[in-house]
Amino acid sequence: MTHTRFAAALVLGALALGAPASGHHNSQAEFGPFASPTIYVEGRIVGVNWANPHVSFDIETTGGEMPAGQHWRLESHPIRIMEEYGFKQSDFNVGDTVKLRTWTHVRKQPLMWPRAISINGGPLRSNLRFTDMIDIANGTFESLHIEPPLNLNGSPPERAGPEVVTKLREMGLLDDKGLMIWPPPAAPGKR
Amino acid sequence: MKQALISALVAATVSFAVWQVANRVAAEPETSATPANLKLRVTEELIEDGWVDGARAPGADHKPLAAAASSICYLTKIEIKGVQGPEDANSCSIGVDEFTGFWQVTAAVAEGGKSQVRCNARCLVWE
Repeated sequence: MTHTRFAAALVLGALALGAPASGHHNSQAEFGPFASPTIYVEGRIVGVNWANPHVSFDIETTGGEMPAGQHWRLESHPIRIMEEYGFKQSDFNVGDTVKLRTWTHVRKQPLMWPRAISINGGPLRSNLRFTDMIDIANGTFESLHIEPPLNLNGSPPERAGPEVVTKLREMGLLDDKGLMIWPPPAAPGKR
Repeated sequence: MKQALISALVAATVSFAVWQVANRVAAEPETSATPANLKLRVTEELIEDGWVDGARAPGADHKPLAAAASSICYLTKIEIKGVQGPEDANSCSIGVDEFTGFWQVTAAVAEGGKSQVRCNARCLVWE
């Protein structure tokens, strides 16, 4: 009887607590600002969902800054954007090992947004060009040994923030249209 | 007479069985948490709920909500815009994702659809 009353209270409480919501999809709202710290995670791909509105990968952790054996879902861009970054569906297969610099979900949901991905011991490839821009402006990009994405060159930098835009302009890394120049133009006298 | 005897025997057997089961249930210790031990909370309304803009990229957007072992989740809003016709199918649903063990809300626009669908959910969590 007690359990019946409790179940009824759960249902009634649940019905009473609905409320409207607003907002729209934004990776920074879910995983923190572009410039926020990442963690290092190693894992194994156990599922690939190469589909819109965004691709995702299921991984089981094997090491890094997380205990082994945890189940996490990596979210990323829509297919078109992934391809502009230089990723292909065939790059990701069940059983592949991955090394990640990644953000985790701000509300403790089992979601990650990778900053950079290495597959089967390959190069650590960028998955977020705006964070690359921030690191380039801060002078830390080279030390991270992250391979920049194909679409870094020619990207509009505004989403990286006004201070980053100013710094990139000072560094000579924006063209006449205000778009990113990468790799950096060779210094005069150098080839 | 024979029929009456059989009926009486069946009735006695059933009564005995029910009595045995009732005694066993009463004797079992309370193993689950009682309501007095539980703390209930309701998850925040998601800022980033499940949503799909079919005009940009139709598909299914899955959003984990809360661990299914200690919560119950429910849709709080379904918003659909820009339906182009009967073939522009969309949906909101909640189910348990077996991989993560979390409830998840799914917003979906079928391939070829142009509509937008937004699905909100909250969860009642016990700890």
